[in-house]
Amino acid sequence: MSRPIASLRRPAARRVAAALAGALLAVATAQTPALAGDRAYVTSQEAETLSIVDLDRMAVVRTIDIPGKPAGIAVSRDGRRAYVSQPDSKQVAIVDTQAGRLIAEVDVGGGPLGIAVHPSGAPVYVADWYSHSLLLVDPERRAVTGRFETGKSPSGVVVSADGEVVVTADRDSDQLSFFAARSGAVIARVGVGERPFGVSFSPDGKRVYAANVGSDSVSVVDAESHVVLRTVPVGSHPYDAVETMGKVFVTDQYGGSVTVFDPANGERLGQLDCCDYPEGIAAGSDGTSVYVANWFANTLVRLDAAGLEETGSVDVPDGPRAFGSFVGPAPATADEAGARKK
Amino acid sequence: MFRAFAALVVALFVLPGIAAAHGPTRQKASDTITIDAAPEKVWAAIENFGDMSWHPRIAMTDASKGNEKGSVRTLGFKSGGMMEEELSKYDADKMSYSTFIGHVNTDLLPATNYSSTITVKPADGGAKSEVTWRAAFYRGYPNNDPPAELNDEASVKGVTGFITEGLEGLKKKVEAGS
Repeated sequence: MSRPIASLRRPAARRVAAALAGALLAVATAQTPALAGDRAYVTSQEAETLSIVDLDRMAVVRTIDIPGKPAGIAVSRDGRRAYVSQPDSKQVAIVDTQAGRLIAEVDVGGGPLGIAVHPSGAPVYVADWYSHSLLLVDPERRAVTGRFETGKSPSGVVVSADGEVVVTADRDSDQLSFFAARSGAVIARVGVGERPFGVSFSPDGKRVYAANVGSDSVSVVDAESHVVLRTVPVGSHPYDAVETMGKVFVTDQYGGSVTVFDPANGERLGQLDCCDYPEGIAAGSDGTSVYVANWFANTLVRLDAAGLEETGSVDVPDGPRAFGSFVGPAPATADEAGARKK
Repeated sequence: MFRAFAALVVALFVLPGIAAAHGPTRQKASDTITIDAAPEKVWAAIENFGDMSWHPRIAMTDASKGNEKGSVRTLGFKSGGMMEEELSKYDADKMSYSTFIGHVNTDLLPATNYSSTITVKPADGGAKSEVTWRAAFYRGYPNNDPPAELNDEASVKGVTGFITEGLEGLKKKVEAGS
């Protein structure tokens, strides 16, 4: 009996109030960087699932079964498709993120691991651990349509934001390969530390980071001159690195930490004792948060990129790896953004 | 002895192949035990990396550089056989240390690339302790089609047994006051 009878009798007033509240919420949404409408797509290798996480609420909104020990993840720029490498079944899964459904599995053979998608939506690049090449998968035809020759056992793969360059971390050749994203022409082969695994671009596209599992360091490479600018020591067995707010965040698998350093001088800014075998790492769209797949603890952890502290966590199924750029816009948010542009 | 030698051969020549074979996926095992003693007392029983006598399976331990990071301890098993384990992280304030075994003797532990962390935390307001031991590793057979005794399930079962027995041994030792 606690319903507000007065307002029930005055529907017009209620509508005004609702509209006002909506307007306030819209303003709040626009001004609160935390409500970025981002989704994380977290592969859980042992559980064989993909969790879709609403990062504003740090809540799992959907769990999709993905067979084949899923590991690598890529999200299309519009947030509508997620691509997952399935090393055990030698496939790439295509997920409709809006429907929350696995819509196709493309046979690629070999040992698919690292994965990235071109900003235009195609092709999908898949690092093949066995054939020492980067496979090009056409998501419409659902077939391998080409391959670029990498070094040995390519693991991480990343495409520049402008869609011009694709880079692989060739783990067993201790090098990065830079290719022209469309033609596959080799731009450079760059020697880095031992066993580079994860690879990423800085937000301004000027630098590339390689996490060297074997030498506990991150190589900072100039994306244009391909010179190794510096090699920064980090924690034990680094997995991947990402830059946001002018800081580089590195997951130290065995160290159980996230090492933070300044890319301009390599100076260490912190080492967060946040995790147990942290693996995949990605920044939110507004750059203020960093998300970490915490493999042992079965969680996705949120770190504040400014304060360098943990600000949230959500449980996910067993063995989260989330290897790749696993954060993307919610499909609905992408729709609204598209509508606003028109 | 031959089996131990064979395991060593496998470790030396097949393990590098792990890099090329993505077949096996990393496994995990963990256990936690509550011990009826203050954390300081429990930590005192395990803080010396060169002394694993609290584990019922271990007959002898010898560490090269004590509790210094990078110190390697040789574990002699009561069942026979040896294994070398490296200290990768040591934090006395947090009562925690981490170890790594690159070449596991799979006769003793059916796993490879084993890493572990043991941590003592206060429980019941500091009157008791909670000890957690966690390990991450790959199965004992690094290639595809592993034999049953060296597959994923066997590795999890084997490592879990090693951990649980160790924690129970530690509890017994500390609670007996020895």
